Amino acid sequence: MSASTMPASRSRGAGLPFLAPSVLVLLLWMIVPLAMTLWFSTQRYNLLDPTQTGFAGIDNYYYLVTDPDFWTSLVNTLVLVVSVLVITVGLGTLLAVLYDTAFPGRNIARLLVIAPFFVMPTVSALMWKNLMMHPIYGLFGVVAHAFGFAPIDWFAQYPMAAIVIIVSWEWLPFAVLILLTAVQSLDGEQKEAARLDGAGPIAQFVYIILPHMRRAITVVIMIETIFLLTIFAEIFVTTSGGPGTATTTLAYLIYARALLQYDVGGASAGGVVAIVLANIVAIFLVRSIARNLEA
Amino acid sequence: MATLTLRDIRKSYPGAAAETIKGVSLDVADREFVVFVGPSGCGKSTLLRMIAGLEDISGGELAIDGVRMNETGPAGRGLAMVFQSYALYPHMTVRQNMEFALKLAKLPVVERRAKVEEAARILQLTDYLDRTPRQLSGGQRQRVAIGRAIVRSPKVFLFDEPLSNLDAALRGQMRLELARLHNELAATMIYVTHDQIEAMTLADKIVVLRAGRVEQLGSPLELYRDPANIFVAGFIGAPKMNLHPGRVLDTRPDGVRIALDSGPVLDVAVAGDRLAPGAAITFGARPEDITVAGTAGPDRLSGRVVVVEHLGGQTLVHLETDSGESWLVQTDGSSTIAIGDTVHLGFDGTVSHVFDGQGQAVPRLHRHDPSAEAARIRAVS
Ligand SMILES: Nc1ncnc2c1ncn2[C@@H]1O[C@H](COP(=O)(O)OP(=O)(O)O)[C@@H](O)[C@H]1O
Ligand SMILES: [Mg+2]
Repeated sequence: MSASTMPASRSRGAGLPFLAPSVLVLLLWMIVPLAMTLWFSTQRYNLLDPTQTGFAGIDNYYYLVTDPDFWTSLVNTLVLVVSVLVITVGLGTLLAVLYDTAFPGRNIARLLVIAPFFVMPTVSALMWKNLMMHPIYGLFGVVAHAFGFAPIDWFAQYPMAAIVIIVSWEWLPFAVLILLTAVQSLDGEQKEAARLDGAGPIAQFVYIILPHMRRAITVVIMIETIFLLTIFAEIFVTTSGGPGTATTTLAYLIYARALLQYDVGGASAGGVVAIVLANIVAIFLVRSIARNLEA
Repeated sequence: MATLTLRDIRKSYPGAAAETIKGVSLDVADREFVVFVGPSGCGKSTLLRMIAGLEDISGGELAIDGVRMNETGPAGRGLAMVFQSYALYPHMTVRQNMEFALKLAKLPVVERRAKVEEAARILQLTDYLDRTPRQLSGGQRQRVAIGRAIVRSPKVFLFDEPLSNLDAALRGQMRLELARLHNELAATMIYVTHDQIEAMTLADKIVVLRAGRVEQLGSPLELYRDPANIFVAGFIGAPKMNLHPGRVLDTRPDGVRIALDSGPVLDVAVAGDRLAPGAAITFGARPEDITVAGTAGPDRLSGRVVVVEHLGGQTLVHLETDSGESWLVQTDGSSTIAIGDTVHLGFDGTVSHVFDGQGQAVPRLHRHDPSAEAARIRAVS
């Protein structure tokens, strides 16, 4: 050990007792549920049938991966997450750039765009279900009717699209909030220099604004992905995973296994898959962020 | 060829009570180095940004090479600007920064490369072309910003306080570089600064601005020699001109006899026809025009030394008179004057200034020998 690293490592060691309580809490918080999930996933454990007990080995996992619903739920999760990301980041970037320019009533417009963030998921889902997308009472239906079209029964005809719309509406404010701060932190003289260099609005956006926002966009994608993987209330309130399995995501599948079919073992196996999935995403995103921070 | 004409240019920002630029007229000749100088907030940047096309022109006409440009966008005017914050694109390398405008102009890659490399050579940036701005020092960033302007071969270069973020040593060095660049590129340049030394050393023509108006316009020597009013007299020249009140005793064909409020009676060679005996005036004398005399006298000013600054080649002596006025005198470097000494100052009526009650200069009767002036200004800066 070289002399220069000595003080640093010693001070790190000295901090350990102070760090210990929080590390301990974190360990209990994370490790215990994780260990229990792993344990249950290897057990025959059905709440309806107490006689069925004992070690199941990888049976629970076997049943899971051979269940076509599982693969459907994975695809559904992917579709939901990717669509919402594309919509919120795309629209969020656009709105952020728009709201950065001065126009009358900008403050009110900003407030309105942030507002959905404060509505809880069950409420916003119910709102969309009954006030907006309901084929008879919903606003969309009324508008369609007024123009002489047949109203769309969203949750029957386009259930996944309906969920994507609701979740995007909920998460757009978050994206706009983060991206707007990023746009506003751009040095105005850079844009002016670009204008003098002959860059029109589009070239400025592509070459100056977008690169400046790259890190903020990565942050939005990471945080949203982690939350979107666990979207549940919106599905529960509107479609209950249906029709059929059209809107059953992994999170909803785990719920259905555990609390509709009382199959704790199978649900735990699904939970372990979800954990693995979330970690893969996290590793990817943490890496890309770290790379961004270095650049 | 690039000439620039401003005719009664005005600017009022929406919501602002008064006009920010209150009618500026100016002709910039081809290859001229024009400096806008003035205190902070006087509208220098606003004027420059209107020329660049970054701000709308509220009134008047701007013409480049005789063509009206008021309605032309910034890219169409053929100008390049160097910003105070450099405004480099942080995610692009030095090369990409410099070729950005050329890329947007869809210049062939070979041509782009040649131009960037030529600019890099002029600015000694060749070794840094593949670095990003954050890997460069302040002076290097400044040079990249200039390089970005050079590659476009603009009609006019615009600089907005380009050196104010650099430390003193680097500022002096970059000042020389800019002077060299101006010669080498044979370009028309407009340069904004609040630093009168930058203005004196770089400019062919200085425009002194105050509160959106041109106070005076002329070569550095003209402004130094014949400031049009108290503001310019106090602003141009370092150390600052001594300006103190007095009144007229008598006017004669060869000058005016004045009495300073602090005592001495002086004969100053200015045209007396605008002054009546008894009129209040302001007397001005540059620290380098005042001599330290051995004895007191009716035309001498006596004061107590409060601060002595030894600069090596010269010494600045600050004194305070009995009446409480502060005076500054420049003497030679071997001066032995010490704090607490009482000294007597002698004035040369042929190089002193008199300003009337409105602060306007009273025309002087003696013209100076320009070469002697030039030598003095070199010593000042
Ligand atoms: N965008 C703006 N809106 C309103 N007022 C401005 C704006 N920019 C500058 N001003 C005002 O115009 C005056 C001149 O500013 P500026 O040209 O930046 O001065 P300088 O560059 O000489 O320091 C200042 O009083 C400033 O407050
Ligand atoms: Mg300024």
